[in-house]
Amino acid sequence: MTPELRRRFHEGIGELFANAVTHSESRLGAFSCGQYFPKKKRFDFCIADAGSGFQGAIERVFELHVDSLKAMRFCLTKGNTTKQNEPGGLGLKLLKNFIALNEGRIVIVSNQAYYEFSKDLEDFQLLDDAFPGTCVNIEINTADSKNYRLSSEPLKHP
Amino acid sequence: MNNNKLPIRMKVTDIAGSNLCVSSEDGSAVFEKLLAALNTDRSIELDFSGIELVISAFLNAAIGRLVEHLTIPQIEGRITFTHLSEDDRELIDRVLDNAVLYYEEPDRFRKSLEMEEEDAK
Repeated sequence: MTPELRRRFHEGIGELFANAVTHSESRLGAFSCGQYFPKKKRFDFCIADAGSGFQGAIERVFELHVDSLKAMRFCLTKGNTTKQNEPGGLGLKLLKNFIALNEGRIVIVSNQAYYEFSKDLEDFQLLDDAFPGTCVNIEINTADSKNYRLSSEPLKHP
Repeated sequence: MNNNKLPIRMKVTDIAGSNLCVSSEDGSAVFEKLLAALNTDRSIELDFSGIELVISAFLNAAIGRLVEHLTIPQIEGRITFTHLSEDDRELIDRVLDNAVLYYEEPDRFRKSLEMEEEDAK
């Protein structure tokens, strides 16, 4: 793994832990694990919490009932946040940008919503049963030697 | 502002107590120090030397919240961010940009969700 890739990966993990701490209200904290697959040059990292999920966070903060899929779509939209009196909603977007460039993969399950993202795929599905919290798995391509820069997406207020 | 006065220098590692800027709580501690310093007539140097990792969750709390009180040109006129990589400096720009949108209409998230619920009925 190049130092730049490692840094990007650490940033992504940092964003996921920050989300779990800020939004989940999990009484059991968060659980994480990882595995390296040397032949495939892939590293998988998973973080799960036993909290309220995206749906629960929206219900708690906005006092609105939304289904799991709508909640997940809301939380994955850049700039959307359930934080009160503080901007947010960049972490998952930055992580998705990184994963697309790296040709990795993200899978998120939160309550009944399932989300999968890679360079060529973005898929939402409603699961038959609910996961009691949020689980995020990121898989990165460790053979990647690209020179990462933040996306060239223009700023609105340059 | 009195330009003859030396800037107030704040070292992020001293405030956050770590070389990892990865929590909103640490970001809030930096924000409180910045806000207090902005009430003086001195410029501010926010020094990131020794910091190994910065994420948006930290910067939203530390710097994004300043947009509630000041415009971006005012922030950039008073605060100099030093010892940051080019990429982390770009992340600050993105956080400020996102904060401007947030403070333009903080209630827009509730409104958009309410509209979706109305449409679904």
